[in-house]
Amino acid sequence: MSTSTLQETKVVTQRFDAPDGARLDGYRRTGGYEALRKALSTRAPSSATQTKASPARSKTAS
Amino acid sequence: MERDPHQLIEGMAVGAYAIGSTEMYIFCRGEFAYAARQLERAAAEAYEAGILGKNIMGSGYDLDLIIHRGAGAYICGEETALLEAIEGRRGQPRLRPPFPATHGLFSKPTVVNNVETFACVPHIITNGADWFKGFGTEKSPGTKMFCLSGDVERPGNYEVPFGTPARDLIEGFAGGVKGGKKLKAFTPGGASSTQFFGPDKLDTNMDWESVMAAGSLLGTGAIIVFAEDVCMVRAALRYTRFYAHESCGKCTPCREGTYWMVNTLERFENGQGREEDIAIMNDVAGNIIGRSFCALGDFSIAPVTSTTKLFADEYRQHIAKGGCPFDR
Repeated sequence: MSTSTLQETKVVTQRFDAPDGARLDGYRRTGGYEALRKALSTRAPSSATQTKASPARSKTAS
Repeated sequence: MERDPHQLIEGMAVGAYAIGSTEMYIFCRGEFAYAARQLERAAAEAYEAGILGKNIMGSGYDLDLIIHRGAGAYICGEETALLEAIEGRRGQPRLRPPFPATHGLFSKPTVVNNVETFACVPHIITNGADWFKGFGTEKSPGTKMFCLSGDVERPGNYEVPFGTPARDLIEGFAGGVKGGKKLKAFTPGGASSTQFFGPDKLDTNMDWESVMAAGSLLGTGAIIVFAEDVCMVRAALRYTRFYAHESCGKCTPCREGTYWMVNTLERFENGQGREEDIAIMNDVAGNIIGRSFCALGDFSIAPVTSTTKLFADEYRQHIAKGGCPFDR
């Protein structure tokens, strides 16, 4: 298969190539900690429902 | 941990808030010093900005994060051994039940997840559950970072939706087998794959259910590629030595069984292998699986059971030649 047709789907790796993605400023500039702000503004059961509806399936550690 | 530590911290914080926990721990393997430093720096930034500590983001909720550096034991990836290590004891698995969800760290209810799982959480909260389920398969939603290593042109981590065929990862993203050689085998899920795959499994979709249906486990998503000139007996020996070294010693079948499998594999490489040794190793393996506390024992047999099944002819070549027939 030709590599040009293949594209990664970057969700958890989307900031990996940003020069300051590992720093708080860079993280916040790209929407970082807004999910936490959103979660904190709801009562806990609601955010639990959201993640339960779409399980990031638990990855094995071994 | 190294390149986007705040994403991990944020995902964990959402999880902690959801279950009403005020303490979080990241257990970082001792060898990963750079990852631990990045996490410590990110945690310090988050405390400074009021994202961690008392009254986080003005919410009235208190939340602390402790970065715990391990001492380099593979077994501490097993969740109950990890809890033991954080509590200051030797990293050995606990008897279950009770499970960590009811009796975990310091006997408190505890959620233990892989960092990759937590890293997904901010994206799910931001974009919604349906968006996340739009990637991958019904039973394996989302994306996965696959780690391609071994005999490939472009080793590295590639994030793709669950269900991407192994061929796309090995021949596409990783550029195929190094030096234009033929593929002999690959692991679909790292050292803990319960079965190595041959070239006939290249079109397996890399999701939990398809890999399991093909006879193995997706495990860590570490695809290790072996070219045609790799000695699979030596590969089995290398893996089994690793397990023998990392066996915590708690369970006799795992502690002694891995030792004897290493001994026997060494006989093949040294030209002393016998036909009956193939059966002896499989007998030892059968006495490890299901007779150990944790999955390390169960997984430790895979290199032996898998290579004696798929590459029995290579063991026989070792016997006939009186040693390893491979130059590499």
